[in-house]
Amino acid sequence: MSEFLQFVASGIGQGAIYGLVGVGFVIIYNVTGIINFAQGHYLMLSALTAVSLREAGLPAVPALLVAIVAGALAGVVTDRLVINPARRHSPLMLIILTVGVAIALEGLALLIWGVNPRRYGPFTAGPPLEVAGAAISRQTLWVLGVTLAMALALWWFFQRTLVGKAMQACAMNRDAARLQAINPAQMSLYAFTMAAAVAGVAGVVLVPITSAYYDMGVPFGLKGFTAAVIGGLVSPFGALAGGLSLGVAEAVGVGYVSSAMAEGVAFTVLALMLVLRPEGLLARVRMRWA
Amino acid sequence: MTAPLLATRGLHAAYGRILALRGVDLEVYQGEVVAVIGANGAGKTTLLRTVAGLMAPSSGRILLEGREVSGYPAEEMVRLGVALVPEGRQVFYGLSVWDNLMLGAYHRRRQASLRRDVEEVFALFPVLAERRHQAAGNLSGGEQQMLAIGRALMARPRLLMLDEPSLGLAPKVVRDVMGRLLELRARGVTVLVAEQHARAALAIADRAYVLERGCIALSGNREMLLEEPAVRTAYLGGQVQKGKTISEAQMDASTPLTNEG
Repeated sequence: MSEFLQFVASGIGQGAIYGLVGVGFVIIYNVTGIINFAQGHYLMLSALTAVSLREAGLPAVPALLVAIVAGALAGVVTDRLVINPARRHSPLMLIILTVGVAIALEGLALLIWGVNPRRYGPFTAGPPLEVAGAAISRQTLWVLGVTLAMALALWWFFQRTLVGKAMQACAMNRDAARLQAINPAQMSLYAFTMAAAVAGVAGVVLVPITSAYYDMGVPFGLKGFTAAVIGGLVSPFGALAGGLSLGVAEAVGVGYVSSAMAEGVAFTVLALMLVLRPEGLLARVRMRWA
Repeated sequence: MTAPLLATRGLHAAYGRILALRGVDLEVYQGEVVAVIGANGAGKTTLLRTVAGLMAPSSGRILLEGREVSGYPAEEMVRLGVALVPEGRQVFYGLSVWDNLMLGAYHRRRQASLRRDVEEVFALFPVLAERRHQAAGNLSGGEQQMLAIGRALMARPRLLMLDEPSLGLAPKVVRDVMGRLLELRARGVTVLVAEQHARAALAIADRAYVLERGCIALSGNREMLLEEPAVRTAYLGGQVQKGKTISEAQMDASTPLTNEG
């Protein structure tokens, strides 16, 4: 039992990251109707930028904030330079364009940062904490705290601000939203910016756990997508829950079977979800935060 | 003479290769209630969607107080004072009544007058005030129609367009909703209403256009259309000929149109 708890403790940190990436998939999918496969690459971009800024001697807080802004800007660029000009095309076409963005960002990262993984240390030094017989690293607590803070911030944005409600309205009924002078192109820009910023936040808290490397975008993107699919692609909280369960499932698979399981678990879950329950485990939860 | 608030000139609109409007000329003057009546598929919805900017016309012109606005997107048309209450109401089901109303004023969300405007909508539709915290999806059909109208009014439109406001509503509720439109006119809102339910529309309209297969088949003031034999047979169910078009009804009515009483 304590062994199982230990797997859970080591899985929830990564799982929270998958969840944060997945939230971005949900926001963009609901507002624009497309799946953005560059989602994991914003995480990569912020992570590597943060490492470089730290290496350049910038203090932690400004370095991380600038890195998050860099990730968000990549989202802005994706929307304005790629998605918006191609808006009249089918969602499938736009989805393929996001794959192009992902490949371009990965190439750019390879040119700038090379192939070697880089990292910085945990936000707070010290030995792991003991919780119910399982050791949980301090950085994992940071990840969970940041994830909770992001969830609350997003909840506040969508529930308490008119712009957040306009984004929900755009997701519910695009034509009706346009009749209220809500511009879908602008909502799309907000969605990409927010999704990229959230992925960027995930990236900078993740570095001490996994390091940052130029081709981390694809695995984290696909796991974030899996997390979003578990939540049915419509619920941001569903995506967070999906990410946590996926992270734990991975850790359990690695712990009991083999480390080769890590990738297999996510893709098995994704395939099973898409074939057996494409509406998600939390069906009928529309883009709702209440 | 002042330019009409809204005018369309030779308006054509198409879904792919299927022409839904074939040269519609229509005028709405400030302070009027104008109805567009016609059967299902006659092009009423297309007409309103095109004027509202949800569809681009394939040819022809849309003029707002003489200014060319053809092809303007819906977001811009709302800012210019044209609001559409869409067919089937299309309120935002998951959001509260209050949020729906606030989104109606989205483009003027920084203005201080919003609270007063909401109070005006509540005065017009008291039931919305009672249900302000409920999700729009939990309202009855009539309440949703009132919410959709209230939401459109929050944009402070000069021209309020309504697409089939009677659809799916009980006769008593239809009369209630139509009555509110007259109240709106008294407050200076110009109304263009598309209705399959010709009797309900003609009860409140000053003038009406009859749309058939994408063309204006007939137009005139209310009294004239109510007396018009072809309208009576085709749209008011006076005879057994319901579902016929004006031209067919004209053929049937042995007296030619020009030869009234």
